[in-house]
Amino acid sequence: MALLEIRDLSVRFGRFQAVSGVDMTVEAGEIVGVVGESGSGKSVTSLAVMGLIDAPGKVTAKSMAFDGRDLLALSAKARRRLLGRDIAMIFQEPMTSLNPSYTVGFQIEEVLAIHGLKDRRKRRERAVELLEMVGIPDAGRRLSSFPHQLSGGMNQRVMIAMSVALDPRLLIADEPTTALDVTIQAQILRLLVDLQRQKGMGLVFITHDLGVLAEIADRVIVMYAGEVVEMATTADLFARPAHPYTAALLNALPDRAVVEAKVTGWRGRLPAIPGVVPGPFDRPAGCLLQPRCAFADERCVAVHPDLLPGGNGAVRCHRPLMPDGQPGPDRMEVPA
Amino acid sequence: MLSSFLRRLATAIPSLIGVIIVTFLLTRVLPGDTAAYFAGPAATPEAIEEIRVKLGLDKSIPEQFVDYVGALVQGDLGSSLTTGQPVIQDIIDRLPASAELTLFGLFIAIAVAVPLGILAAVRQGSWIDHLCRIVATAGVSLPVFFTGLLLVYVFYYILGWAPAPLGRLDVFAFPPDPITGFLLIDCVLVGDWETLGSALAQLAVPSATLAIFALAPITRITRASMLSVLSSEFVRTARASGLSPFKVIVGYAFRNAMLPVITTLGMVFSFLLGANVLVEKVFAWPGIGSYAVEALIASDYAPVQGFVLAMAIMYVVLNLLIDLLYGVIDPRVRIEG
Ligand SMILES: Nc1ncnc2c1ncn2[C@@H]1O[C@H](COP(=O)(O)OP(=O)(O)OP(=O)(O)O)[C@@H](O)[C@H]1O
Ligand SMILES: [Mg+2]
Repeated sequence: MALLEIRDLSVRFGRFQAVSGVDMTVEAGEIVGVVGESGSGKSVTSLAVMGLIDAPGKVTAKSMAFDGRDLLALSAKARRRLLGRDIAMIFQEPMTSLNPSYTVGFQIEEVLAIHGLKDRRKRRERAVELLEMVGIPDAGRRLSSFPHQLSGGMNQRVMIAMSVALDPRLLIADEPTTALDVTIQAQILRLLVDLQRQKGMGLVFITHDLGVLAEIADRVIVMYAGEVVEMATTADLFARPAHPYTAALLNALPDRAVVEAKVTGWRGRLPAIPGVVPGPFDRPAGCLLQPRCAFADERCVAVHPDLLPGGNGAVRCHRPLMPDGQPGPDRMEVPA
Repeated sequence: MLSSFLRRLATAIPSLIGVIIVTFLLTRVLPGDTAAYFAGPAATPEAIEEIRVKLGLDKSIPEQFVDYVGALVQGDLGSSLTTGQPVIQDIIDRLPASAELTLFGLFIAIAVAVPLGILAAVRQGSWIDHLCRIVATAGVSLPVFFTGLLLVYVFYYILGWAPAPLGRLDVFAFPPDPITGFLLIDCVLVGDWETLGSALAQLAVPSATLAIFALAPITRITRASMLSVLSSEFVRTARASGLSPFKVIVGYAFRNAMLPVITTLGMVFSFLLGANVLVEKVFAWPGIGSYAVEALIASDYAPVQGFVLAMAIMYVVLNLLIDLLYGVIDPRVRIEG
């Protein structure tokens, strides 16, 4: 049984469908990467898993099970008990994600306290232990620092310490390194992956950066405009992207561009994907990517493609790319 | 901590000096000839001149200012020509009445406005949010003297629930010997429950008048501040850690939403000091507001000066308190070292 199993998750804010029909499974001990442009619904998906979408947002799903328990059937209280203990989350902005009015020690101990560690001395010891574990020097003294007295990298370490305080089985990291500078990014990434291995957690790693996923993820889910457009093992995805959007994201990676420039002698700007993710009011009919897709034909304009299995994963495209990078035959016309 | 406190205290000195200069000049440019007023309509020019010399009004303005400051340093605010008493004594006698009224009104306002604002933010768009909007609009559109008269009309004249709006105590009640000057506190201290009840009854309507005036800005800012904090990322972190909604709202969100609320409280308090003057007039409240109004009408400027000075000192002290509170609430404001 998978640790997290989501079928057909949709989230809407009024008339705007922020996430539609997302399927996702995460096994224990696995790193699943989620990638997509800004506004593709990565954060909304993870907040829906946490149960943190507020009215007027509406969450629906065929099923959303954590360790076999249907999250949507749980009472608010029972669901809250899972948060921080079994399912934890790390956010993008370390400087604003911690409460400015309390010391970091207080905030870590608070999580321990609400999940049942009543003994104050034990809480303190555990907090020190956690800060040491995430590589904060002089942990005992750091506990009485306020977030504004620490750097962004340090605060993100504190956030990580807080999230793994109760050895959760699933950790959702929503762009945990985006706000940090490059050297710190690598350290935080290392720390997260080490902790994940050590504790055998399932890790959902959300990012803009496919390059990072190449290094750490077992599987990758590509999202676009609130939908999953492709999912595959990391190796497959990088070797044979089946969706034109995935291929475009891969082409936008700096080192690929550099390789290409060396081969072709091309010295332009980095290749970027023209256009933007459709917002609430400009969702096209048919395939959502179609206005930006170089290979779109009439059927793409008219008919919304389904997410169908293909290769080692699934892809939402009428004519998935072949290994040579060109669109294959239309799936409808291929005899089964 | 102490040195930063003293440093903050020192910054108040220039404002106090400014206030002293302004109050002095202000009363000198007010219309009306004090000496003539006090000599009476039938006085001869010589008599008026005599009084002018006696009051030191014949000297030049700078000389008068030096006299004024010299007396001030010795705690002498001059004497009221109407009551014949030293102004400082009058103010000390009357300040507790004003303070009791203002603080009680502010207290009622906070007790209603803060929970209302919090609930309105938490249940955005619900009936309580609409109620909050009505309160905020009504509060700004009703002038204080109007609410005061309206409340007297309804609760005294029509319903007969409130006692006559004639001061701090019923004429038949005996106040306890002043200890703090705050009637409520003095009654509690000597255990005089009957007088306490009577004092509360007198206090209810005028303080409600002030509270209605103060309600609107406090509710509005509490709601706005809570809304912005509730959508902040650390609140999301707290919820993602499994904290209960109550703890998130009160312990995490409100704690951080308090700074703007306190700033507004300071402002509201100074508005209330102004509104007090009208309310004291409507309810025949023996405070410093009505004292100053009477003095102003009589061109008796020493009490007016004393009043403005007392207000300014209160205002400066209040701001000092607010700054200190900031430091307690928000560690980022705290001065390190
Ligand atoms: N509370 C909300 N109310 C209305 N719309 C929302 C709300 N939260 C998110 N959205 C919308 O949902 C869409 C998806 O947002 P989401 O934050 O999931 O994107 P994302 O993939 O995480 O982007 P980023 O990479 O910038 O974090 C966006 O268009 C956003 O405007
Ligand atoms: Mg996001």
